[in-house]
Amino acid sequence: MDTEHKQQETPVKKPKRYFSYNGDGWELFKITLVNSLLSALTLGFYYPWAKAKLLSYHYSETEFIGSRFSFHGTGKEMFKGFIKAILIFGGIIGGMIAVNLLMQNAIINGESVIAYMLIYFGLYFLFLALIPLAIVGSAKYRAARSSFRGIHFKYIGTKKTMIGIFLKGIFLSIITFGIYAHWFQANIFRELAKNTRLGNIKFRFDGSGGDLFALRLVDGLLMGITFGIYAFKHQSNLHQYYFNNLKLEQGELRGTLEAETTGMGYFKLIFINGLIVIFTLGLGTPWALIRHMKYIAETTRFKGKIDFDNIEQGEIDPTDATDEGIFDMLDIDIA
Amino acid sequence: MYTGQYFDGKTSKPRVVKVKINQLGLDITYDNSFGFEEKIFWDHQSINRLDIQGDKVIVQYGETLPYESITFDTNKCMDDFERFAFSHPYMRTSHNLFKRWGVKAYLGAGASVLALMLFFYFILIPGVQNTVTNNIPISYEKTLSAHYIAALELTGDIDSLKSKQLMAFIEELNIDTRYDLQAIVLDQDIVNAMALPGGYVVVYTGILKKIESSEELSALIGHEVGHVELKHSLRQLVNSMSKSLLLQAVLGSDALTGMIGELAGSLDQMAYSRDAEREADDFGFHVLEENKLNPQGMVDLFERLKAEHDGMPNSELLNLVSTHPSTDERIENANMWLNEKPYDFTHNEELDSIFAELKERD
Repeated sequence: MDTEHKQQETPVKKPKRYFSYNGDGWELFKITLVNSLLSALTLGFYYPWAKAKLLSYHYSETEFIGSRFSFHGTGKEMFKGFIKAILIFGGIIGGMIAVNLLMQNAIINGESVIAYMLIYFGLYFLFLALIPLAIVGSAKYRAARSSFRGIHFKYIGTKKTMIGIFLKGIFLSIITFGIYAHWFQANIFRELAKNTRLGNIKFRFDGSGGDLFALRLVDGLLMGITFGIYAFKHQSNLHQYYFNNLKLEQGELRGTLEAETTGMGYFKLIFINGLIVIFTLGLGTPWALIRHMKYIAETTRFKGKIDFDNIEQGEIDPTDATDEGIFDMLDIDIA
Repeated sequence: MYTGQYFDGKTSKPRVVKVKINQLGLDITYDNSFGFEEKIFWDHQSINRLDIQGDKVIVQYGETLPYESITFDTNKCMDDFERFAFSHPYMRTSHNLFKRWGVKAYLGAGASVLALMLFFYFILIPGVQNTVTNNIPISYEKTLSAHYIAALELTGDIDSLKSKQLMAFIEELNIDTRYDLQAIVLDQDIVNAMALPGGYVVVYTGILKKIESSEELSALIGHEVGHVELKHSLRQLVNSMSKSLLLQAVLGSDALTGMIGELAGSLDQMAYSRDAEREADDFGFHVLEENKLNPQGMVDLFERLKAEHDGMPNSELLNLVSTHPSTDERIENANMWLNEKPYDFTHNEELDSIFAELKERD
């Protein structure tokens, strides 16, 4: 990367259009340590503040064309979301446990359980419905609180369309024995990207379900033949599928991301990170995390022409963090 | 005078600014697009955040979003912030305070986290667990076992005649328990027995065939009722749930640390269940004592288990990673009881005759 960097810089003083991640293991370790102390002292209620600090740290250490990203979400905001999420989650799960107990008693006493089963499935359905709602809500919150060069991101998608995508996706995935799940996943990504804005920059995701399915099928075969060694290359391919299909539009201007990950790169990353974490009994996790972030940032390139000096600020989305809290509890991993 | 990159929150145009930090706030100057010098002023009250990020310092200004921001090229500006803005809330976030206090503060934090973890792990959580398990009603324990019993009934392995005979045997024994005991004999060639929450004592015909005296059977029943009375399975359930919650809260749910936590948790479970076995052995011994039965029954039972497990490695190392104390250790313990608390014992004719009935069909 260094040589290319120099080539770019010597003739005209053009900024390198690479991302970089400047985080440091010790710094992250210290942040984690203070977070752990305050979490332990508050019996876990410090969690939203800990999360805000970590997110803000990672954002601020991520640099693109010489400027850093920012995360403006606060612990206070997320605490409200956290409490609401606990109440909503607790209500649903508590309800399910209570109905389950009543149902068991009914079985023992030989009474009818149909009513209980209906309530139980109703609650279960409510729980499932939380997933698309939480994805949209969290996307809205995170976008509204993230900025680059002072310009905020914005998510303009609706909960309704996301629920539609989920209903269709779940139904078709079931009747196709899971094959449609790849299209379902691509659709979620397309919906998320399409509705994301950075000022007057629009995003788009061009990856199709077919590409994802073909990728997993071929890589699956290769992994079988190579006794799993190909898994690292697969990881790289999957990463490129997500990144290389992300397009940017600003009026007439176009741009795209390009990931230069390799199977060998992923192998080194995962193997060494594994050693770091295991031999430090987990204390080295911050260093492993930093290595991961650095690898992702340093292999990502921006190609094309977007005028990053003239992004106009749009209206800032007034949003709260309730769905962010639920999203967090569901522990969904979409990226 | 420090330099940095300034964004006004309206456009994404980066501006190189010179900043002077004083008692009132920040004096910021930059050249506008026409080449003229422009000045702005940030008062300390409206600065809402300062983050030291490695060799950079990021400061954010404004009452509402979007904020203005400056990324300083060097963290040397912290000297001036310390001098002039020391008392403002943006300087006094917990992370910034720890940074200022330095290495000693972090070491202190590390030691405190460790001390708190130990306190939670060994004092607070066991205390809460005890209160919780002791307050769970017996009827709820029965509900917990109901599913399992229903599944057993479906397999058709329950020997109802032997179950009744074993029940008669248990009723004849004088056992100090709050539970309505219920005996279940399963017709399977397994040399084992178990206790379910709520008072269920489950014995396999495999072990009944091996047992040769009513004292031995009494020792086995005593051991299993010990598990019931001391709520071992319930305790184990609450224990594993609460400790994994604690690990998650403090360490976060990162996948790898999660794995390590789980490993530590399962080792902990094994140690716990070895302690539980010892407690149950203790309880079983007291049952023999109460009923004036020959304590040799306990030793015989262990010897038989030992013979059963002969050929399996039974070393010291295994003791560390197994759920039961080694048989040798249990025999040793039983012999110790025998020597320490000798008592007069007799033959219980009634127990003998029920035991003979139980053995009849073998």
